[in-house]
Amino acid sequence: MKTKLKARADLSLALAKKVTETASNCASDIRVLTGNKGANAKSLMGVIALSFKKGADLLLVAEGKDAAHAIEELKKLL
Amino acid sequence: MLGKYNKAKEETNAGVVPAVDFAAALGLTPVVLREGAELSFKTSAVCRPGLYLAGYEEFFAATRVVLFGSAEVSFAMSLDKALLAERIDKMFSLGIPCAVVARGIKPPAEFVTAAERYEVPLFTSSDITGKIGADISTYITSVLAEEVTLHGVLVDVAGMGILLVGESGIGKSEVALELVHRGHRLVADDSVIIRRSGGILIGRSPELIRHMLEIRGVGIINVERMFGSVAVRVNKSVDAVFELVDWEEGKNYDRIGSEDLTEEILGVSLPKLEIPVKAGRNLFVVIEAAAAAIRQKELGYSAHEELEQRLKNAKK
Repeated sequence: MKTKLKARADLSLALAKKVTETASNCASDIRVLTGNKGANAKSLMGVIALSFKKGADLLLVAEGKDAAHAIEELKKLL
Repeated sequence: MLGKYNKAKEETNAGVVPAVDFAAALGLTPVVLREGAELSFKTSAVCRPGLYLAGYEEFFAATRVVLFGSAEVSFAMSLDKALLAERIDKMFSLGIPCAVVARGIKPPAEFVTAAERYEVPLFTSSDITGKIGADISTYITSVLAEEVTLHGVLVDVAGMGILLVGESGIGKSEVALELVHRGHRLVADDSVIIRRSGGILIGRSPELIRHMLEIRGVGIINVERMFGSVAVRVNKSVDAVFELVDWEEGKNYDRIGSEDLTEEILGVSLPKLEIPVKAGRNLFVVIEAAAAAIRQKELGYSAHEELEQRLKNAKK
């Protein structure tokens, strides 16, 4: 499952933490991609390394049983 | 496969660089350069266009950077002005990425006119032709090098670049911290950018999170600040892959050291070990021993073969 969206805010440490916490509560494999970078949404440092700014194009890719739920939850944050 | 560890392949705008970056890296002076121009490279080969200037157009590869040395420029100047203008015009119309005039020679007016007409960046270099030609090739080779970003931790264990992979939360970062504490070096935590150069893989961290380590319950620590600059390195060859897996009762792990698993990254095959994680097992010691065992194997020794031999020789 894939969803495209535009970042609502600059990536901060607090936001990265929320993203990894939310992703870690899901069973699916979730990736966040932006520009030529990609990260495992469950990995804090990986998400921080994305360092996107408000308005950046993001792509969420989830695979697994709760993929739809995972994407819904992450969309609320990003 | 490492696919499940989030192989986020860097998207393929590989080979495209801002022209100003190219000029800065090679110390070139722009003569014709539109603002925001980008160079698209497909090959690291450089073309010396003597034959083309002489009128032989077969086999001219327009994908290459065109490099003029003193021989080409002085031959060009010896041509009839109209003929030179015609040949240069045609050469620049073919879609060459850019042209460089070496030895600090001022490009003839015909070059400038053609470069402007077809918006082909034109540079001069103060270097001698052979040197700048080699430098351009080296630069483009590095631009074209394939890269992938993997979810894992890269540590230098006694000189061996060990890529630790495994599910999120299995304890890769904690093992890295233990290894650093034992005098080994951290290269990258969580996100490892791997580049292939010839048959060798070189790993590094994204700059933003370089030498930062996330330890659950402690938070983010700066390994370089905490353990000093000897505890880190900027890049390291990747020599082996260790996959940390949950210990499953009843599963048969390699108990002899004879299973030759491999993992392929960017077409390079690396030795791989599956290391089961169990509470109470000192993982860093296991990893040190595993790295040493792989080194021994490379040097032609294996303990299980020696043991086999001893069994054969044992008295009946």
